[in-house]
Amino acid sequence: MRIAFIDYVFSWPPLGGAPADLYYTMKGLQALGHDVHLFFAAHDPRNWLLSEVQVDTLGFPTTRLDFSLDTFQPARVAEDFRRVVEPWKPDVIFQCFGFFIKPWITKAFQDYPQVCRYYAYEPFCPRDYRLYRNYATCPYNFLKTPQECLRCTTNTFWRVIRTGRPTIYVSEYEDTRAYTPEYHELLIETLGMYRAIIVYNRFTKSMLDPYNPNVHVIGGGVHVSDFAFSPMPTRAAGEKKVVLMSGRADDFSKGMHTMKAAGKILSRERDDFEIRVTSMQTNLETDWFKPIGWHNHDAVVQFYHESDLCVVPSEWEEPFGLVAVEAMASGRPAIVSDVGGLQDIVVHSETGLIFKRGESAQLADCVRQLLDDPKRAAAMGRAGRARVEQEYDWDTVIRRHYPGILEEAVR
Amino acid sequence: MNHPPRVHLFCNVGVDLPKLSSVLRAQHGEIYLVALVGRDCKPKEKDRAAVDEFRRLAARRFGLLSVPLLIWSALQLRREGVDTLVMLFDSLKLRVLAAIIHPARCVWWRADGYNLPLPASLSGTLAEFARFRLRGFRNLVRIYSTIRFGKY
Repeated sequence: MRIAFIDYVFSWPPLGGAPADLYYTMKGLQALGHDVHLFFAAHDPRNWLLSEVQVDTLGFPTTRLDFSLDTFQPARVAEDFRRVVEPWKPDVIFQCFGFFIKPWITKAFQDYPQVCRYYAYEPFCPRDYRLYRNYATCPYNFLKTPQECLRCTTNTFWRVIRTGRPTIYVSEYEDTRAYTPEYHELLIETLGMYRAIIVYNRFTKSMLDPYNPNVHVIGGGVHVSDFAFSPMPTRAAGEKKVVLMSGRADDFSKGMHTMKAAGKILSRERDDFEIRVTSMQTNLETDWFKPIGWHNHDAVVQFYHESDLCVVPSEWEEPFGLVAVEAMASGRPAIVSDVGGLQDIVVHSETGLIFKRGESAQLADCVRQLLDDPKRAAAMGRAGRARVEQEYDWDTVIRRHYPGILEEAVR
Repeated sequence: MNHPPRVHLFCNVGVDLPKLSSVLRAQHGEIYLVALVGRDCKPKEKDRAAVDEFRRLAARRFGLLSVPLLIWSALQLRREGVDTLVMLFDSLKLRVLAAIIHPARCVWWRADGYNLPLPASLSGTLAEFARFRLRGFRNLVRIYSTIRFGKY
């Protein structure tokens, strides 16, 4: 099958989870014998912030389309993509990461079977596709409450809009006329056009179900070989056990404050642990709380091996939760909050524990249980590793889910 | 004798100076890079190493244009001659300050990575600023009225 992947914000090396997910999906499908080709919109080469996409290291064919702030207009982008995609004669078009422009291009390719992947909450939250507002999951949803969401978006960006020279994201908001009723109609219409929509978690699926009957939940993954299983560290008498919180800890929605509050509770009753957090805020350091900064992949793998358990206390509806998968692949029990994809990844009491988001006392109790019972923690670590091998290894993810969806799409 | 072009950069503590410096040097070749910082700025060692000179302007974070010392600092820079002035923010205060310095070339390096040339003269700055603000105001009115009165 010939599959054309279209991405509007592609970066390589990846600047986030979406390009990495796309890369592994394409590589996996290529390994299964499909003909894949990536068509991506590239930023102006004079842009000083974003690095050039390193296509040579991708290992599959690509076509790059250059746009500037002035030319990234719906009609122009649609026309340019059609010009390069059509001669390639794809059997199916795979719509990847994009913001406001995505429905316009979907409409332009309406005569093709299309599959769409959502990487966060793009159709629901025009402000920043995170669906996180006032330190909680936002109760609104652009598909149902467009005016409320557009007010929120415009109130967030009005200072940028008033300059008359908005930044890329806001410029796209204006140029695609995403604030109009026509755009809202277009988005709903194009949601119905997709032969399949792929999302990371059941929460997203439940919100898309009214608009498309073929919404599939497919998680991301890791290459199991990148995360060697290691047995629990043996601690000498008096040596502290390590609780690790990895990921973008300085982002408030990741719940580092909950982790710290839980640590405070535990520190009143014991001193046999320390919490290591991948945070840059060194001023937060205490006897039991250690911000360890940002590190590369190899160092992070080492941190997993040195830890006794891992905590992912996110407060926003984490679309997937790669950190939990990485911890489990390394053989560590994962204590996660009951949000988004995390609650699908961890099996409560089997591969880790699930606590209610923001509840530091509950989190402290979970950490206490595993610190006090190393055998149980080790068993959970082994079960986590087995679960990742069975469910979240990229090769397995692709082989198990994608061929069926793509065949269904072209039927 | 030819001197390398003097590139001046308005910056504050939140700026990633090593990255900016490397990009500027990659784009301009051999340059003499001067970071213009506020009076109370305490640069880190890696920031010091990234530029050729740190120049403190008189006012805290350039906020008080009325302070005569700041104007004096700007006029001093004007006398020395600035080949390129790079701005990272688009506030009227900074733009007026840039106009007083009157570089040969003024560029706005935006947070999204795009570079926009700006007029370097005072009259050009004010006219250009007003033109874009008017456009921005119109856009805001259009967006808010569409949201308020549109049939969704």
